[in-house]
Amino acid sequence: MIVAEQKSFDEIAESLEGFQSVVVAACGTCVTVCMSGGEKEALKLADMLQIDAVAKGKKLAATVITPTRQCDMEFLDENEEALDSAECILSLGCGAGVQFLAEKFPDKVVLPGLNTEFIGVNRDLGYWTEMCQGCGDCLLAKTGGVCPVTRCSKINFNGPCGGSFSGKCEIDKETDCAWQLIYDRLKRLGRVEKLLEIQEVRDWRTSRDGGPRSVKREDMIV
Amino acid sequence: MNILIMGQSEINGILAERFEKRGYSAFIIEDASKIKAFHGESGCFKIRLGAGAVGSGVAEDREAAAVIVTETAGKAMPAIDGGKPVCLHESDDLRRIAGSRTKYPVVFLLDYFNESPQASTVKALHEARALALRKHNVIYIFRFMRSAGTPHESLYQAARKAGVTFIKYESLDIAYDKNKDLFQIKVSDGVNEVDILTKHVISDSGYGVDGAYAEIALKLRLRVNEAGYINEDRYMLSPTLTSRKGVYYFSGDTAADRISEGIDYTLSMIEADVGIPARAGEETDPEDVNRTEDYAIVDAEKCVFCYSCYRACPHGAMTPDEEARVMKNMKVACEACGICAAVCPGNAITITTDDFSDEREGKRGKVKLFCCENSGAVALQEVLPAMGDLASKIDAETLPCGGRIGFEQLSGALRQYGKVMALVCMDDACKHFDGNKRACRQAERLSAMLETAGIDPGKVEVCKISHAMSAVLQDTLIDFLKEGAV
Repeated sequence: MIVAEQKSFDEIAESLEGFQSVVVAACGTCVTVCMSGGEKEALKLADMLQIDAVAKGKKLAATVITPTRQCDMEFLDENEEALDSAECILSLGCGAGVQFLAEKFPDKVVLPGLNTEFIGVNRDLGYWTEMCQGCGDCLLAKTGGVCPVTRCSKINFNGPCGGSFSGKCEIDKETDCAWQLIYDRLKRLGRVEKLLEIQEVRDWRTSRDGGPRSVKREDMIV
Repeated sequence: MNILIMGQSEINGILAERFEKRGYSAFIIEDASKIKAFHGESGCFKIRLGAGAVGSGVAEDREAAAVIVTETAGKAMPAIDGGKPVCLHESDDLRRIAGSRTKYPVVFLLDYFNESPQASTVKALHEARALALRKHNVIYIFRFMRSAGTPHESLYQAARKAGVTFIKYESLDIAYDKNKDLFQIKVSDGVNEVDILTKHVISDSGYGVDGAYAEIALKLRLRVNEAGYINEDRYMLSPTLTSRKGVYYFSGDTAADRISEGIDYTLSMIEADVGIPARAGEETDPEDVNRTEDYAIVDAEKCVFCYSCYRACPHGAMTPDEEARVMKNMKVACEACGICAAVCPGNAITITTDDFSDEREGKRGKVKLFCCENSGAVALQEVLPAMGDLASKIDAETLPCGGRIGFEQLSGALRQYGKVMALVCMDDACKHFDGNKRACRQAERLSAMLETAGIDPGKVEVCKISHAMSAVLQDTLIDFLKEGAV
């Protein structure tokens, strides 16, 4: 899932300077699960904006809507009237949601309330870690399910660097060395010989280096 | 009624036999790894067992109305300053001490390495009394006498009558003289200090807080405290109870008469929970059982199936509805604390006790108090009549637990009131374990955001209090009402 964090309140408040009404658009999917942009967070933020406005003698009306997702136009269509009524929209969706809203309402200021961080997993209540960077050419079959693109600080493809020590990365003693994890996993699986398969220089055009990407399923498009 | 007995304890077989004599049907699982899934609630737990768990070669599903987790006695004793204390549970060593004679007292030292479980207290009282009756000079040093209100209260009295000296300690220093093979103990009860020399320190390292025990807690989704115990002998929690209704704890003391007392006590808890006289093989309909009147309600339209409530619930009362792909609440297990509702990021959960009457009636006071019904609400009721005109400045809302207080309640209240305060239980006194701490976190987050916005963070406060601290609450409220924009 996409994991995001709410921007600091002062940054959000500053971006709303000059506006007198805002629709806070929550998102009912990824950012609800990672507790940054769901209905509840939107309500909290709307409260804070009002408290801040009153404290500073300003006028700001904040309302909350919660489309199921911001990345499917039908859900934005359902909320069109509410969204169109405000001076500006504060989106608590991920970067995709913010941009989709901006496309839908090109004459409205659409502001981000979150910093979209990564594709990750939920380790525990309130704790998410990065697992995937969407490189577009998954090699997890060769690395025992541990991603060197995301989890190796140097994105090494053929083993650790000289800075790997006691299973930790030299950048931070709390960070596991991805290649230690890869070796341990492949050993456990009895597939260590995979490490002898040299990964050639990668074509990074499948990643964002090739520009904005798209996926089309021709078999689905009639 | 089926009872599942879990744990690697030498008393499992004896327990099973005793329960069966009383008309129950018991089965034992020693190895928690054999449990593949554990669902359900008191009266109707559903357990998926791996092959070999109960002697059959295939996986099977079993049901149990209750689970009893038994503990093993930890016998690995840490050294004290190089000296070797005797383990309370090593019978041979205790017999050796009983048969020896020295001019020095025998010292029982409880709650030293960490807090001793009740089983150690029971065992230590028995052994101390036995030694005293054999004319040994016995000193019993402890921090908590866990016998009050339990069948073991008479043990403490009997030990005193036998001549055991009890010291409830506040501070303690122990050194070991290797040359003389003597422990030197400096102990203070907060008023007096005394020096004790002894050859024999009898202590405990804690019961079975090892991998096997931890796995039981994980599989059954039981709360463990910092020391790793599933029962904390705390005020709100009887020694046999765990965080999950229907799962009980039974200490590993194996003397026959003590097992009977323990079984009667545990049986009475089971029967009260399940609500009917228990008979072997009788299936219990969860709807017939005694349960809390209140419970959580999940709005399936809003639930995103994120498992947050499942993880946060301290009582294991949330279970996934695999067909509907939403969470659902188990009413028997639910204690209606509201922590799930506060945590739910989709705003999908309400509690039957949720009451918005203050909002319907409108704001009257200047400050809003959110009060835990177990602590703050009780103390506030006592305080308000004594506060005169100040009482009219206070609007209060009672909640089942501090954990029910979400950021949005505090921020919503702050839009109408000058200041907001949460009155919650003190640490280790929360009936729902960490509800009070959750409330603190919400208030901290709101305060931090206020400060970022350049607004006085003191508009939001938390007061940890017990129901008996009305005088402290009165002073706190007077200060709270004085300061800031009220």
